[in-house]
Amino acid sequence: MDRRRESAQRTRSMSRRSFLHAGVAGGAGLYALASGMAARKAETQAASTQPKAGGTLIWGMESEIGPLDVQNVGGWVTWRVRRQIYEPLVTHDLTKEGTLSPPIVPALAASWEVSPDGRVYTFHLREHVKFHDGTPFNAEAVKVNLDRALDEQSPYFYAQLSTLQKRFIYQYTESYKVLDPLTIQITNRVPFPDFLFQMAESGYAAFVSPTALQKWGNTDLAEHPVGTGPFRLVEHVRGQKVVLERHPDYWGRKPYLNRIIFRPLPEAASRVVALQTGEADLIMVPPPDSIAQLKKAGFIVHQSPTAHIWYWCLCMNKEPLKDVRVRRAIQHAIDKEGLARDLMQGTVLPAYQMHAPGAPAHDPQFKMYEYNPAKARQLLAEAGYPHGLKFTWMTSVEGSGQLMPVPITEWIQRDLRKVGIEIEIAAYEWQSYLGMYAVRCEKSDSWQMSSGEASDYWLYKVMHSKYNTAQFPRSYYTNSEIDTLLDRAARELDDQLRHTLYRQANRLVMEDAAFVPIVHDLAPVVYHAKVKGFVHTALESFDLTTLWLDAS
Amino acid sequence: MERPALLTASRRATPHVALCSGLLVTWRAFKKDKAAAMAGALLIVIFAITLAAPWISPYDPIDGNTALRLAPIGTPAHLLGVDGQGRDIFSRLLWGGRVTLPSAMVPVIIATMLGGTLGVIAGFHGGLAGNLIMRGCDVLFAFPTVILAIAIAGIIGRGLFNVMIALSVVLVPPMTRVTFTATREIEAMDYIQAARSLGAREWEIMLRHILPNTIPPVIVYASTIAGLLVVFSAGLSFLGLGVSPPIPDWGVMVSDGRTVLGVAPHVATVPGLMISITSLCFNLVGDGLRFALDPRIRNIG
Repeated sequence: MDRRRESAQRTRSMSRRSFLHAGVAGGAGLYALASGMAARKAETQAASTQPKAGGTLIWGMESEIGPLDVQNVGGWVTWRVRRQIYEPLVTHDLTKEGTLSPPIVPALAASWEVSPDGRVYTFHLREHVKFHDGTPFNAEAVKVNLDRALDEQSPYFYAQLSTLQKRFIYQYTESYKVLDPLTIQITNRVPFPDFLFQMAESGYAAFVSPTALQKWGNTDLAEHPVGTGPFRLVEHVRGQKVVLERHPDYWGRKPYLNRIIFRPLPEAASRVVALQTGEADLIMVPPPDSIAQLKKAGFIVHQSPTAHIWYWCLCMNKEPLKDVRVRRAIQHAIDKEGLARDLMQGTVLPAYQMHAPGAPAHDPQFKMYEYNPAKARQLLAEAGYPHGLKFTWMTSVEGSGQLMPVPITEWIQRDLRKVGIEIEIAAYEWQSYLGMYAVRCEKSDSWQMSSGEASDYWLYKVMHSKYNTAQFPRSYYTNSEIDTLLDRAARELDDQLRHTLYRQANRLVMEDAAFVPIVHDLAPVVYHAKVKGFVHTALESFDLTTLWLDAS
Repeated sequence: MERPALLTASRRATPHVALCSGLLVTWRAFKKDKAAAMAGALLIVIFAITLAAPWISPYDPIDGNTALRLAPIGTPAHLLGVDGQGRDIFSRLLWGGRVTLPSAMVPVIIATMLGGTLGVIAGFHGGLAGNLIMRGCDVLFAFPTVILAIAIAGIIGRGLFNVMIALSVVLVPPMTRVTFTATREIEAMDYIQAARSLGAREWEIMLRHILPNTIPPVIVYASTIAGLLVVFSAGLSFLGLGVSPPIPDWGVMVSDGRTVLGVAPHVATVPGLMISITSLCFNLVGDGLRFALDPRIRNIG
């Protein structure tokens, strides 16, 4: 029904546009001819808004994917593929265009109840769901997957995943039990209002077939993924393609596409060429400067705010960034509007806070540090650097969600030079950049990252001092006041109060100027006009069951 | 034992004069080769203007005017256009040469000296030392050149100087191989046998008769890889091992221009052309030198 409404809306907007066309042309004295043409055009477009099944879509990815094991590490690029193969108990509804906080909807759980104290979650599983290999999905299958992440005694236990899952999704989980073949109950030690969001987010809490797990074992499963999702894996040729095909027995809405081929095209310029030559139907992260040209050539450029924040971490274990005045000076010295407008050509929004758009605590009005080079110079003088200072900045050269890291750092480097701060950029290849996670603040004075969630809880993951340990020293930033606020917020069941607490935490972080938010991505997706039904939301993951190809 | 008159006579002639007359002959032959002479002149111009960059560069190579981003070739006051950060491409080319040319030439010179010495020793002496040298080279040959350079630069650390060291090291094996082959070839020549039978000492044969004759093939090889090295060092910079942004380097400039190749092709092609022209000049000069240095070809020509 939704889709019918959507298509009706589209028809309406089409006819309005046609009317405008007609009006302009009429002014030029070609009214009769133009209106005839416009009417015909409107007709064909109305006809083509009826989705058609079939066809193969080729998706140009920014990099090769990580392991296709749903519970293993990965970035946006990997999640986008995994999401088609595996499903969690609850998921985000990604079928409504431009949603900033996509609502949580049933997936493999048809319904669920939460105890009044917010600790016990009882999930009623969907009936007659089968994995791609025919294994029935039931509470036992859920338990096997939970054992894999959480139960060290279980034969399925996979230590590598355990850290990840315990850190984010199941960190408060006390116990879980099978109540009947279609009911599973998970009990958390404390109320955790973000539990469902974390289960849905990036699908880490999705389910692999127990049969496949037995057959392939924990590590080889990544090459033989078996889930319940709308698509199943046909083949994965590393460096070349990941081929998915429609899962004929899918329980939910059947995808229109027969196949999707994901091709890694790490070079932004070659992604554009692939799109132009028809080797790809859809790409993401085009070079911002090529967008105008692509639009002119008839490609659709589809962008919308996402829960994506590109930020700069200042190491506080040493001078000069130990001094809050220097950190504040940096915040004032960067012209983020100019960066978004000129270098990024309007494909990003300037960022002034650590809550990404889509997070309920994101406040579009919040702006503690405006662009003010004079003030920056004054702060530096107060800090004892009237003649400027110099420090190093470590960056990647590319990577999942990284946009154009080197041009962005160079742009900021120039802004900072104007107030007397010399930045020495050290650029690294993506994998080695990730590999240096624990020693970044030893090797450098600062570094950058891109991440984000349409959830306030993301702040907890990044700012809480328990995630700033000796093992993973993010930037040696600790503030006990923020810890207290975040601990309270994470367990607060009242929505309004929770958002207020998270807003306070963000305010404190920004007062400390601990991180420099730079931009929020608008994640432009560029595709051929024949690709229809693409839905963009804040999550930067996509529900590809809505996609279809208009062959005409 | 009395030495043959011929050898004594040649030894008595002051080496200085011999060298000077040798250079003069070479120079005359080189001048006749029009293409080589022009390429040489062009190289001198390129070197001169990059050296003079601080005085003649019209703009600051690292500070741009963002309003002019990606302005095309022929923009008033920015004849070669402007890059994605709003910087004048001509100024960056001038300054970039100061990074690019040394990083292309220094490794070649070091490797030629090192590899040349090793090659002559291995080729002339053979035996255990020769075997050790050549098998050592084989080990290094087993790795792809670029990967080896990345590994070395990765171990010794970032920076232009370290990139030069890494590139020198990876060039030593091919240089050694080229000189080794040349040495073996020359050693079998009649005039070496003649010198030997006349009682010349081993080191004399090596320095006087073999070494000078290995120079032509080595020069040709060195001149062909100088252009390649520009590309290698750009690759290392791209991986974060060479120069850091915003310092200009021709290779890095090409790499910066990749993303805008479709909309502003000049950002990558102008420095790309500069690299091509410079490598072509190196090749032509190398060819010219080979002809000029080789008496056999010189006489035929």
